[in-house]
Amino acid sequence: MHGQSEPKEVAWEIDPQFLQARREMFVVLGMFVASFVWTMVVSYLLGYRTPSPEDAIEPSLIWGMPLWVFWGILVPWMAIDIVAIWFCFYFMRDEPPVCYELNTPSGAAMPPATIQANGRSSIES
Amino acid sequence: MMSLFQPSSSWLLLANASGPNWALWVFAIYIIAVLFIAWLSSVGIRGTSFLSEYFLGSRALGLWAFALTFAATSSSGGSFIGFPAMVYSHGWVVALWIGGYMIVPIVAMALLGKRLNQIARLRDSITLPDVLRDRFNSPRLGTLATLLIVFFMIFNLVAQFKSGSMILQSLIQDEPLFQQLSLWFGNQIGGYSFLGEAAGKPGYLISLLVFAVVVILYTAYGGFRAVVWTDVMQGLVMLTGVLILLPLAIWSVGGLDKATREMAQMTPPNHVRLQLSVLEPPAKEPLVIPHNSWLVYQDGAERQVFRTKVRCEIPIGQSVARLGNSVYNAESIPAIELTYPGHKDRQAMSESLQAIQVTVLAREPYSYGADQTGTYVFAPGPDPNKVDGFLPISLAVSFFFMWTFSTAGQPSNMVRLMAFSNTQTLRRAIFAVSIYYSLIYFPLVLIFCCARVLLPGWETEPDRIMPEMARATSALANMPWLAGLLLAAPFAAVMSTMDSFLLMISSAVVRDVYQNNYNPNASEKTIKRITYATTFIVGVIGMVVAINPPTLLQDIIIFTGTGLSTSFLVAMFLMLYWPRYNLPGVVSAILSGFGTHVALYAIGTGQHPTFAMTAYEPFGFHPFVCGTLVSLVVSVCVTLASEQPSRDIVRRYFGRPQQPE
Repeated sequence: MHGQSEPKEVAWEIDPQFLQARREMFVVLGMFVASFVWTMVVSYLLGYRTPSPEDAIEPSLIWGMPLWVFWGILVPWMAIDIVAIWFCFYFMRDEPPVCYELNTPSGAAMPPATIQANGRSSIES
Repeated sequence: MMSLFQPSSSWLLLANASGPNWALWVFAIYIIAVLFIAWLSSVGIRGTSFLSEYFLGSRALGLWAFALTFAATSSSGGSFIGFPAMVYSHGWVVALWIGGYMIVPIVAMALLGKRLNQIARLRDSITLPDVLRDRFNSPRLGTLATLLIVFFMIFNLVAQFKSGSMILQSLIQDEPLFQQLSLWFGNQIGGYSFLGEAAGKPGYLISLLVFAVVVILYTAYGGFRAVVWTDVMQGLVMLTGVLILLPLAIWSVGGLDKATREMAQMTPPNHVRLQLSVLEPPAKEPLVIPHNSWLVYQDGAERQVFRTKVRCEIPIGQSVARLGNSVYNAESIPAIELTYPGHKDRQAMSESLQAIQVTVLAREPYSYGADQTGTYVFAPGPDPNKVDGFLPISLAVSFFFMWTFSTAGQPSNMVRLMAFSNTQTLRRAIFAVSIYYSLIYFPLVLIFCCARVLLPGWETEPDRIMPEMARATSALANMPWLAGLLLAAPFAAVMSTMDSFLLMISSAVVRDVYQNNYNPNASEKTIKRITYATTFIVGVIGMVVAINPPTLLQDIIIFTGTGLSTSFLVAMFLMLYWPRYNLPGVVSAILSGFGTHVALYAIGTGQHPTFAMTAYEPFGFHPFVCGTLVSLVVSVCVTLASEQPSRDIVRRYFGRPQQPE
């Protein structure tokens, strides 16, 4: 994906912060897919049906909620909150703050004229 | 006699002769707190770079500020008015409708958050159009983004003004002081024709004025920091409201288990049209039948229970009730008929209505779920109009996608992602918001399932179920002051959403229109003056339009809310993660997303028999889902078919920052 943008004159490396952020992004999408599949499949199998007369007399409940709501929504919801502990406190990495003042001179590839064309310089002092 | 018919048109009947009006006190304390916060924030503005401070709080948001502003901004008045109404009307299936919120915090904050914050800092971008303009070095792209944001946000601003004023009005309309004031105000404005229909609604106008002045003042004066800190307070108010209401609701019905068992036996009501008549016509004054009046008849073992949806009256000397003289079909009164025996047996009719005879002119059972026990505890849930039920599985899929990704794509949320102070804050905030949403949305489902058991017959006016439930449960618990606190929650929700919209529009105008196109070298002092003025003027324009808001407002909100995400989500996502992404790609993402969204709404509206604003939904999928898919496919194809981005840009945004030369 990045090979074609490799410049010939200046050697440069892909920012490891970018790679880490991208890795985290894929994990987020994975978590979305997992919760989505769980919720939809379980709710569809247990919740989508025309209720029989017995359902009205003796509905199957867990903690006072219908069985399908418990397994299809509450359980994945709690599961995600637990996975969020892992994601937020053990997986996601801290990055040093980006500082644009330091970055501008070193990323000299961007000609100074472009920066001024954005009309920024006047208010940043 | 008339006093018996005091219409329950107020949300709150807190004000009784002896006790103080708690709602009014809550409101007053609230306003004072909000203005105090704005003053504190304005002190903070001095001495730092003005624009970055005013629109982004100097990118210094800590954990609680960041987490709560994010949570509060995305829950608007709908979360506390429309959503409870939906749970009440359709039962347990609404838990699946809202289910996407389990993953919303993680997707909305972690999908874009870290990278967006990095890239915004790289070039000190303050607004979303700033980020796009800088990333692709294209002022025109910035202008396009600005136009779209302003276009969609203005509608939303008006809508939030309207719902905020309506909530405020219902909070305080029983207060004698307010009634006197609106009477006086009504007389004062009677002669001004420019007010149009609004001149007949002085209560609404006063509420709008008070609400708008407060919000505009604190937003304009305190900027982003004030908005964030009031959001923190409002977020806490919402959470407290739900956490108090939950045990109260469950206690009131005698346990959740009991409530669900009773729901399983319920059958949906019928919508009916009634003719109401009396044998002896009223002689001195018309007989008023307020809306939400119960009409109960016992015919042997058969018991019939109706509840009126509108106010009507039997004029002097006549025997049939009318809606009003100019109304078409005025003698056909809309109402509902209860079908569940457990609720029918509980109702009693007010004594003064005993003489009224009822003839059922028309009866419309629910299109799905009529006479079906168990329908309130299973999917797809009962629905008065849709034959497939409230939430067919294709819609459930759509909503799961929509909640997660449209929250991620909202510009007002993205701006917050540009403002957190460091990644540690982001990590902790994601977890905090996950817990916050778990404590708000799922409990709301439980609370209003209990409401369905506790308070029958609100299908007449489902939007009132939240205040009615607050009132009923606090009365049962013998703590009337609690209702005031509980009702602050929807009010807080509206306020926290609209202040950020106001600031978004104003930042777009100052930064992206004025500073970038007209006067790049404006001095800090000029910028400051223009910023305060713009925020103020945008707010006032929103308020003036909200005096006579367009009738289709509710539909417009849905249209604009998802429209923004459809336009921006793919563009932002690919911009952050795909080095090959280029200017034609991003422009095509924005335009094709926007175009698909508008086109689907245009087709849907054109096909609708009365041209009501509706979306065409291919295969049952929401326009947001379709628009985002189209946007993704078009954008990727256009990018691959066009030239590579310049190496400088790629290196700047994706290369290791410190280059050893």
